Amino acid sequence: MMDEEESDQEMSDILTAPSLYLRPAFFKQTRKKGKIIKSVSERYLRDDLGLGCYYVDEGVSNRRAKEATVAKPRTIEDSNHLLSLLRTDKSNALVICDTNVLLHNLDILEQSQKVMPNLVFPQTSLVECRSNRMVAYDRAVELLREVGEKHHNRCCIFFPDMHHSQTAHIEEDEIESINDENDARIRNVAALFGEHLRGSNFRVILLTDDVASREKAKKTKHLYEAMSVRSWAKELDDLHPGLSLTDSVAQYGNPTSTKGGKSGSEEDIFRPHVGQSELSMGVKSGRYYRGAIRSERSSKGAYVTIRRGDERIAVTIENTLDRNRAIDGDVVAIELHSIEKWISTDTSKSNNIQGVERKKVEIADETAEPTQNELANVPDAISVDDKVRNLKPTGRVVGILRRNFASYSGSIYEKAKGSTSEVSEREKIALENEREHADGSATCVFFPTDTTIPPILIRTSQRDRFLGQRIVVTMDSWPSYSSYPLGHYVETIGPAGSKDVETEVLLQQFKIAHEPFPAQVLACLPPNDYKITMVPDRVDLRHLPVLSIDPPGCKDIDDALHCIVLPNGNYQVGVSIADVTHYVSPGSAMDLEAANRSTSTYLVNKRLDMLPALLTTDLCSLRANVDRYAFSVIWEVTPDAEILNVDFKKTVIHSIAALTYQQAQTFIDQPDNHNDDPQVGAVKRLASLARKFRKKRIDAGALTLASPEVKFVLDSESLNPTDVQAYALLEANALVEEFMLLANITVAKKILRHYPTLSVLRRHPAPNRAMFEGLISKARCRGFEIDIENSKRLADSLDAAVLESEPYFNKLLRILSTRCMSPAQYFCSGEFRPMDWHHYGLAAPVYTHFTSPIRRYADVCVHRLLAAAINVAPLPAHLSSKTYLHDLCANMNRRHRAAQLAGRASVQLHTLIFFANDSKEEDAYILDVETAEKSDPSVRVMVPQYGIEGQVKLPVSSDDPKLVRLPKENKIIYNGNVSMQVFDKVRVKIWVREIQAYQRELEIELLNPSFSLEVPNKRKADSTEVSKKKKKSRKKKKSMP
Amino acid sequence: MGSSIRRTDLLALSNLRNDGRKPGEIRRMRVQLGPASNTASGDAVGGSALVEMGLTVAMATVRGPVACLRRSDELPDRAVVDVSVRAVPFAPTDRRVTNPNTDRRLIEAGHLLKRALEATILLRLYPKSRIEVRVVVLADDGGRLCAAINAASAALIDAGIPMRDVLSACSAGYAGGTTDTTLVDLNRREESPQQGKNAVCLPCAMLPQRGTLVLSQCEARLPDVRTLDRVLEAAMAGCRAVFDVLQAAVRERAAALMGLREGTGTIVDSFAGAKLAA
Repeated sequence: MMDEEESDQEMSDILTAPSLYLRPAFFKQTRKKGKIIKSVSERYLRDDLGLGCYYVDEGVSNRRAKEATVAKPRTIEDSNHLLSLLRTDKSNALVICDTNVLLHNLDILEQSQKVMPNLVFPQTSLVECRSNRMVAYDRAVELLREVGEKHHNRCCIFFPDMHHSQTAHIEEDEIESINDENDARIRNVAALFGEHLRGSNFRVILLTDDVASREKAKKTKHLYEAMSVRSWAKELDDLHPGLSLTDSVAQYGNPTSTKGGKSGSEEDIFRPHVGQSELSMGVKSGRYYRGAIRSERSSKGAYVTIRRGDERIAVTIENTLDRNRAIDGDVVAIELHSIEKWISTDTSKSNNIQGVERKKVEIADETAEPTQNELANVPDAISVDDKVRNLKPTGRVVGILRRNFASYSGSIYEKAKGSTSEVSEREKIALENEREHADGSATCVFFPTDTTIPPILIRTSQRDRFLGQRIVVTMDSWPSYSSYPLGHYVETIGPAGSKDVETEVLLQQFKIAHEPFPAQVLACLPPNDYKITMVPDRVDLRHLPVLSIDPPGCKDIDDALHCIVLPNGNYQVGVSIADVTHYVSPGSAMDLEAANRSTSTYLVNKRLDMLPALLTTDLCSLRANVDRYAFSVIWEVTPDAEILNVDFKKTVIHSIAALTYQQAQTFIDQPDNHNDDPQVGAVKRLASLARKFRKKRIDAGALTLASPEVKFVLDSESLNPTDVQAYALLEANALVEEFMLLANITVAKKILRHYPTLSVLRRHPAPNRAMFEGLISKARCRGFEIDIENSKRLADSLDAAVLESEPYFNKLLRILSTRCMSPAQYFCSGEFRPMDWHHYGLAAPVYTHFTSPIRRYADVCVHRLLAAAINVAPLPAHLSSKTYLHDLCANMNRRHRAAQLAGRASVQLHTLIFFANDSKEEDAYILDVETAEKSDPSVRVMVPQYGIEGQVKLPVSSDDPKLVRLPKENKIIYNGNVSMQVFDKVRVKIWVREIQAYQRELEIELLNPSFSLEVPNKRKADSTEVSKKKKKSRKKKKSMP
Repeated sequence: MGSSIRRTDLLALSNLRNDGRKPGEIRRMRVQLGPASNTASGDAVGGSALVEMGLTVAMATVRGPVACLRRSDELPDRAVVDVSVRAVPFAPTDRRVTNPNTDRRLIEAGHLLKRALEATILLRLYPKSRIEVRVVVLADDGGRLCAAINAASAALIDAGIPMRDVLSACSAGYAGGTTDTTLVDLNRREESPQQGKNAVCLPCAMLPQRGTLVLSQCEARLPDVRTLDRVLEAAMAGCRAVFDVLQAAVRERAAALMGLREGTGTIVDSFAGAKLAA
C-alpha cells in the first residue's frame, strides 16, 4: 500500500488548497421530458501533472495474455524530460490539435507520422470529440496509445488540461460560451508548451481551423503559432517534396476555400438545415419525425422509417431536394408532406419503373430487387381513412441529427480515350464541377462504386496520379450551395480493374466485414488443444452411421444425415447440425461480432466467414471420422415417408463419411442388390424417402424455381477464371435439400409452439399480381397461360409450359417467374399476423433456418430458441426482447442481401476478366422487347451459358418508318422480314468496353438476326459465317495447352 | 466494438479519474463538529456534526444517553441505539425526486449504520438507556452511506459518548477493462451503473486504530476473489485517510473548547469562517 501513503500526501495538498478546486455546473435537458436540470460535479485541479502523459508499452499486460497489450501512461516531469521524448525532423514542431482537427482531419494525422511526429491531444479536444463522433474519438485514442514497431518514431502526448492547475483556469472575460472556454483552454495548453520549449529549437504549433481562435492566439505573446490545417499541410508539403498531405485535408463548407473566387455569388441549392436544438424540440413535439434514411439501390428514391407509437412506417423521400443532402444511413428529422402530396400505391409502380436505371449488362438477378423497407419488415403504405386506397406518405428532410459520413472507395472521373461523342451523365457532372485552383490543386469529381452515395468533390494536387486508381475518399461536409458533398482523399487501394483491388472495393462497397477478427473475439475461442469429449447431458449417437453430403472441397460442413432401419421396419432418420451455440455463448464478443456479420459471404475467389476459422472449418465442421457436437432432429418415418414422431436432441456424433454430391449420386445410381455397405444403404434409403417427401411437397404446391447460376473454373495459381460452367444439379442435391427443408419446417413448428411471439422465422410473401403481369403477357404470346392464383396453380401452369422445339424455354420461364417474386425475409413472429408467416415458394405455413449455423446467424438464434424450447439451456435475455429481434432481423436481411450482391458483383468481376481477352459469341434468349412508341428499339437478352443479361440496342433509329412495334405480342418487326419476339433465340457477341478510362463494362451486341439497311438475307448468312469462324478459333484456343 | 474503454477513459489515458483525482485519493473532506449543539432547544445532552465528502453532505445529531420512552424498548445490560437516516428531497445532484421516507436504500442505510454503531459505541456503560442518532443527507453525490457513518461518528464524539475508536467509512470500487485499478471514495458518477452493468462499489467502515472492519457491503459482481481483496484493501486505506481528517477535526475542536474554557480562545467555525463569540 505504498501508493496509498503517497496519495494521502497529495490529499492533504488538495485539502489545504481550496483554490485548486472547481465546482462547475452544467445545465442540460433531460431526455424524457425536456426539463432543464442543473448538474454539479467536482473538478480537482492539480499541479503534479507535469507536461501531460506519454505512453509506454509494458509488454504483455497482466494475467489475461490474450487481451491486446495496452500502453500505460507515464507523466512527463519537466521540459528536459519533454525534450528527450520529442522526435526531431525537418520541421521540428510540436503540434497541438484542437477539437475540429480531431473530428475531421484524423486522416492527415494518421498519415503524417513521419513528418509530424510530435502531437499533443488536449483533454478538452478529446472530450468534445467524444461527444460529437465516437468513431473519431476511438481513432484518436488509438493513435495516441499505439506504441509499437509501427509508431516507435512518434511522440504522442495527452494533456489533461481540464485538471492541470496552469491551464484549467480561464479569465472570466474570455468566457462567452462553453466553446470559447474550451478554445481558451486549448490555447492555454499551447502557451504552456510554448513557455516550456522556449529557447529550444522546437516550434509549438496550434492547429485550428477556427479563425477566431487563431486571431486570439495572435494577441498572446509569441509563444506559439496558430495555423490552419491546410496551411500547415502546405508547409509540410513544401518541406518534404513528394508528399501531398494537402490532399487529405478535410474540406468544410467554407465558400472561400472550396469555390475559389466565385464565393458570394453562390446560391443555395438546398434549404438550410434546422439547428440541432430546434430539431430535437420538433421531434419531441411531434412536428418532425426521426429516423435513419436508407436509399434504394436502383433508383433515386429513399425512405425513412419513423415510429408513431408502436407502429413503424416507411416514409418515402422522393427527390434530391426533399432529401436535402442526407446520405444513406444518416439519422434525420423529417417533416411529412401534406396528404395531397402523398403517392397512391397504384401510380407509384409506374413511377418506380421509370426511376429504375438499369445497368447495361449485369449478372442475371435471382429474385426481384427487394426494396429497403422490405428488408426492414416495415410497411410503406397506410390506408387513409376517407379513401379506400392506400397512400404512401412522403416527406422532406429538415435536418440531420447524426451524420453517417464515412469512407468510400471508387475512382475519380476520367474521360475514356476512345469514347463516343455523346456526353454521359458522369461526364456532365464532371464538367460542371471540375475546376483548377490558384495553388495548383484541382477539384475532381469522385464517383463511389456504391451507387447509393452521391459523387464527392475532392481537392487534390495529384490528380494525374489518381487516374486509373481505386482510391478511398472520406466525406467531410455538404454545404447548401454545393450540389455534391465535399470530401478528401484518404488512401489508394490500387489500380482499377485488377482483381484483388476490385474485390477489396466491392467488399467495402457492400460493407462486408473483411478485416480479421479482433482479439476479444478470438479470446472467446476454446483453446487450441480443445478436445471434444462425451458430456453426460448429451445423447451419444457415435455408433450411428452418420454421413454428410456437400459440394467438393467444402470446409464448413454444417449438416449430416443418417438413416437406419428400426426393428419394427420403420426408418429412423436424423439430421444433425453443427452445434455452434455450444461454442458461441450469448452476449460474448464473438456472438456480437457474428450477429453483426450475420452471414458468411461467398465470393468467387474467397470466403468471408461469420465465425473464426477454428470454428468454421474445424470444431463445428462435421468432418468425417471425428467426434463432433451436434444438434439433431430425429424422426421415425415409415418407408412410405409418413412421419410418426420427432425428437430434438443435443448429441455427439461421429461422421463416417463426408461425401460429395457426385459420390452420393453414384451410390443412388447403384443397382439394388442389397448392398451391405452402410453408406450406400443409408444414401439409397434417404434418396427414396426424399423422393416421396418431395412429391408430397410438390402436391401441396411448392414451386420448383430456377436460377441462372454459373460456376467459374479458376486457374489454381492465378485464380483467374478459365471457364464458366452452369451449376450442375444432381439428385443428391435434391436429397440434401429435402431433408434440410424438413428439418427447418419441423424446427419452425417446434419453436413457434413454445415462443409464439419470439421466434425468428423466414417468410416468403405471395407475389404481387402487378409484378407478374409482364410475364403473363409474355407467356401468352407463346400460347401459355400462367396462373398465379396460388402456388399450386402456378407450379402446375409452369409444368405445362413446355416447348418441344426449345428445351430451355421452360427453364427460362421459371427463371423469370422467380424474378417476379420478392425474396424471402427473416422476421420475428410477433410482428406479423400468422397468415403472413406463410412461405409461398415452399408452400409451408411456417419456415425458418436451422441447418446452417456456421454461416448464418439466424440459425444460431433458432438453435438457442430450440435449446430453450427443449429445456436444455435458458433463453438468453436479449432474445426475449421484441425490439432487439426486430433490429436483428432487419440487420440479417440487409446483410444477407449485401452478401448476395457482393457475390454477384464478384461473379460480374470475374466475368469481366473472363471476357477481357477476347469476345465470345453465344446463344441468347430475348427476355424483353421494348415496344413503347418512340422509344429506342432495344431488346433485353440473357445468355444462359454465362448467366449474364443485358440490354441490346438495335441499330435502328426510333422513328424509322420500317419499324413495326407490336406491344401485345411483345414483338418488333423491321423491314417486314426481321422479327424479334420475346423468348426468341438469338446469337450475340459479348465483349468488353471501356466506359471511362480503366473502367470497363460488358457489352452485348446482336449478331443474328441482323438489322441492316442492306438486303437482310445476305447479312444473315455473313454473320453466321463469322460466328462459325469464331467458334473455330475458340476451339483452337481451348485445345492449346 | 472497442467498448473496453468508456467511462474509465481518462483513467486509461492519464491515470486520473473523471474529476481529476488519482485512483487512490479520497474526495476533499471537511468536518465540522457541533454545528447544531448550541440550539435554543435547551437540550444540552448530545452533539452534532456536519461532514462534507466532495459534494456529498451529511448532518448528524445525537441525543443521549437518555431514558427509553417505553420500558419494553430498553435492554437490561446495555443501551439501545436508535438510528434514522433520511435525505432531503433536493439531495441528489440531478434533483431526482424520491420520497425520503420510503426510499428503501435509506432505510437499509439506517440499518447498516445502526449495526456499525453498535459495534463501536461502548453500549454496556449505559444500560437501560437510549442513544438517538439522526442523520440527514443534505446533498448526495455518491457515497452517502459513508458520509452518514462519518457524520454519525463525528457527532458521537461531539456528544462525548465513549467509543472503541473513531469509526470511519469510505467506499472503494474497481475499474475493469484495460485499466484494472481500484478506485477509492466513489462519487455518484463512478458508482452508477455503466453499460448495463452495476459498477463495483464497496462501502466499508472500520475502526482504523484497531484495524477492525465493522461494515462492508458489495452488490456488484466482481471478476474474482483476488479483486475483492484488492478492493477491500483500497477501501480500508480510504478509511484510514478519512480517519486522519476526522482526527484532525476532533483535535481542532478540542483545542478550541480548551481555549474557551481558559477564556483565551474563540471557536472558529472552520466552515463558514464566522467567529462565534465566546
